[in-house]
Amino acid sequence: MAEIPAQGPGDHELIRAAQAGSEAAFEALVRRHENRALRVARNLVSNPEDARDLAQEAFIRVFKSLERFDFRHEFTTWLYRIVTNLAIDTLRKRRPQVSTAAPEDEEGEWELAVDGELPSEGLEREETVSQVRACIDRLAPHFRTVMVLRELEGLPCTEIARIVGATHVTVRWRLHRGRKLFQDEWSRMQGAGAKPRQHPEARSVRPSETTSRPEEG
Amino acid sequence: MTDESLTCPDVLEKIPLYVGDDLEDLDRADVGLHLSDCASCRRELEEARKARAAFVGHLDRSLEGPSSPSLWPAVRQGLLEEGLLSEPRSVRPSPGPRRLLPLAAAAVLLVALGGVWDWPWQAEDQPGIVDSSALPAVTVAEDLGPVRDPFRASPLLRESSGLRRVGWSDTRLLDAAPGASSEWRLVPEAEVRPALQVNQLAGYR
Repeated sequence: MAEIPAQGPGDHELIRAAQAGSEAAFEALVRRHENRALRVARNLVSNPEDARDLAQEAFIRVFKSLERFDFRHEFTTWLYRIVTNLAIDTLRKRRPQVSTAAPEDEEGEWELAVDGELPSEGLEREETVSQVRACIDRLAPHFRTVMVLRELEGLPCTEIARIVGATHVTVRWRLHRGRKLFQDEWSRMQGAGAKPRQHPEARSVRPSETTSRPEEG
Repeated sequence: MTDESLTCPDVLEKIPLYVGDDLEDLDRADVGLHLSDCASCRRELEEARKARAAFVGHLDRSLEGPSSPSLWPAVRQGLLEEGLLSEPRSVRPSPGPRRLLPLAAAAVLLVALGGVWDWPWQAEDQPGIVDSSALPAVTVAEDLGPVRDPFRASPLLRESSGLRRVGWSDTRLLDAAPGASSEWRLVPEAEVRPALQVNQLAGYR
C-alpha cells in the first residue's frame, strides 16, 4: 500500500464529489489518507490487526458523517480526530489488562531482527522495545494521543488541540505531563542502580501532585 | 541557579517541553541561558532527552509495504454491509462509446437475425404511428445506429441490458443520459420510414 501523494483534486473537492454520491471520490480519499490513519492507529493501539480494524472503522465513520463535514477545516484534522477517538475508546476498554511486564503472548510481534546484529544484541534490543512499550502502555490514553500526534505526526499543539477538542493550553499540559510520566517510568525500568544522580530539586510526577493543571477542554 | 529570572525548579518544570522544542521563544531562550551555567539542570535535560529518544525511537513510522492491501476493499465491504453503498457503484461514470460496444454488437446481431427469420409477432405487431407526446421524453446522449427492437427479439437481452421500453418502433437505439435507462425513442412516421429502409438493407422485411 503505497502512500498516495495529494495530486489531482484536493480533499475538499473529493469530499464534495463524495457527498454528491461519487464512490470513486470517496475511494480516492481513503487511498490518499489510509497510511496516515493506519500509522496513527498502530502507534496508539500497538496491535497491527486492531489498528487496521480501527482505521477501517474510522473511514466508515467518515463516510457516515460526510454530509456534516465542516469545510472550514482540513480533512486530516477530522480524520485524526475520528482515529484518535476510536483508539482512546479501545485503550480504555483494554486498560485494566495493562501491565508493566512485557506481554508474553505478543512475543514475535515486533520485527526485531536486524541484519548483522549479534543474537545478544537482538535480545537486548527486544528487551528495550518491551520496556518502552510497557512505559507507553502505562500512559493514560489522552497523554499517549497527544504525544503520538506530536512526536509521530509532528503536528503543532494548536492543530492537536483541534483534533482532540481541547484548548491549546491543555494540550501543552498533556504533552508536558506525558513526557514527564514516560521519563519517570522509563528511568524506573532502567533500574535504580543504573539511575544517574538526580537533581536535588527534581521531583517525580505523582498522581497526587498538584501540577498547575488547566481546565480540561 | 544562574539566571535571575528562572530558578532550577522553574527550569526543571519546563524541561519536558524544552526537550521537544515546544516552549515559546522567550521561555526557550531563558531556559537555554540557565542551562548554559547549571550542570545539574543539564543532567536533567540529558535524562529527558534519553527518555524522549526512547519514545520517539519506538514509534512505528513505517508505511505499509507495496504488497500490503489497501484498506479500501474492507472499507467498501463494511459500507455495503451497512447498506451505505449499493452494488454496483452508486455513481457510474458516463457510458462512453466503448462501454456500449457490446450492446451495439448485440443489437446489430439481432438485426441480422431478423433478416434470416420471420418472427411470428412481426405481422401483428408492426408499429403504427404512436403518439409520442403521451410518452416520457428521452434525453438523448448517444445514437447507436439503426436496430430492431431488441426486447422483442430477446427477453434475455432485456433482462441483462437494463433497457427499459417505453414504446416500440423500428428506429434507432438511443442511449439515454448518464444515470437514466436507455430507451427507445418514438418517432413520427416520416422518421420511421428511413429507419425501415435501413433495416431492409440489413435484411429486415
